[in-house]
Amino acid sequence: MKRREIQNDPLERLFVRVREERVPDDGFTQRVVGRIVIPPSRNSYRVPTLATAFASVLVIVWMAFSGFSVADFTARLSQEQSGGIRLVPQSWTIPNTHTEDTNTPEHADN
Amino acid sequence: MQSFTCSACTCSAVTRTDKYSLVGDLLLVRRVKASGDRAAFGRLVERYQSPLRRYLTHLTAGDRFRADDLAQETFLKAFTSIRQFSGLGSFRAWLFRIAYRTFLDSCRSAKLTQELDQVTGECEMSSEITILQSALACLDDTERNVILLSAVEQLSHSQIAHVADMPLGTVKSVVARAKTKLRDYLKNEEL
Repeated sequence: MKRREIQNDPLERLFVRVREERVPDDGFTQRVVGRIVIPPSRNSYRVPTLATAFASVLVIVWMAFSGFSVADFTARLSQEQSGGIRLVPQSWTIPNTHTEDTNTPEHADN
Repeated sequence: MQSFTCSACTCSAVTRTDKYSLVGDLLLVRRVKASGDRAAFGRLVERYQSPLRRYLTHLTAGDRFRADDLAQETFLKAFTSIRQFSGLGSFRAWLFRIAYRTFLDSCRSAKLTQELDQVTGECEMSSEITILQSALACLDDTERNVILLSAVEQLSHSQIAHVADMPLGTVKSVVARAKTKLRDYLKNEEL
């Protein structure tokens, strides 16, 4: 019954023929897949946040258990600037590479 | 230039590949969701590129280049927002919904609707496509979209209601009205 309706109705016949049309791929799928940009996952945002939080907790714990106080630290810094106490060993400091030039006119006179 | 083909061998291929396996779709979608699997998404693109490009070609009044751009944009949007696909409905209907919205966006931005009449006839089309294009020109945008989804892409009325954001009753009445208009057109043209 339905088939007869389709055969008699020019509109239905037209739709049937149009439905049978197939668009060839012609590399369309390759182009689409090639243009895919994978968005960053949620974990990629979480990792640096968690790492920062973990490092902050470690610093706070170290400060709590090592008897660190901000006042002492600033005092040591001010002494360092005045040459009293060194925060780093002498071997870590970069030596002064500036040497006196022996070819100055004063030496040449001698 | 790309061309539509319709030979006996391709038609039989259509009937095989057009059996849209819901389970197969869901498995592929799950792989894409889980790990952004490009190969799985490529399978989905391969499966749906033909109906989607055909639908967009009719919507753009035969402008295949414009339809290909829109189809590409549709698939890229589908990939980036595939997590929003719940899996409860049809992937095909979800894809057509994105395609229709992409088409509407492009019309708003480029005022494409004013150019549609000029585009028709610029591409090589089979006689059936030409007849359908000229018949669709007598419909408004909503009727054209609904009749294409219903009669050509064979989506159910509830799926069309989802795609076009329309009440189910409105979809049924629009389909009936559009068919009447098309029949009148074909009768007047003596086709």
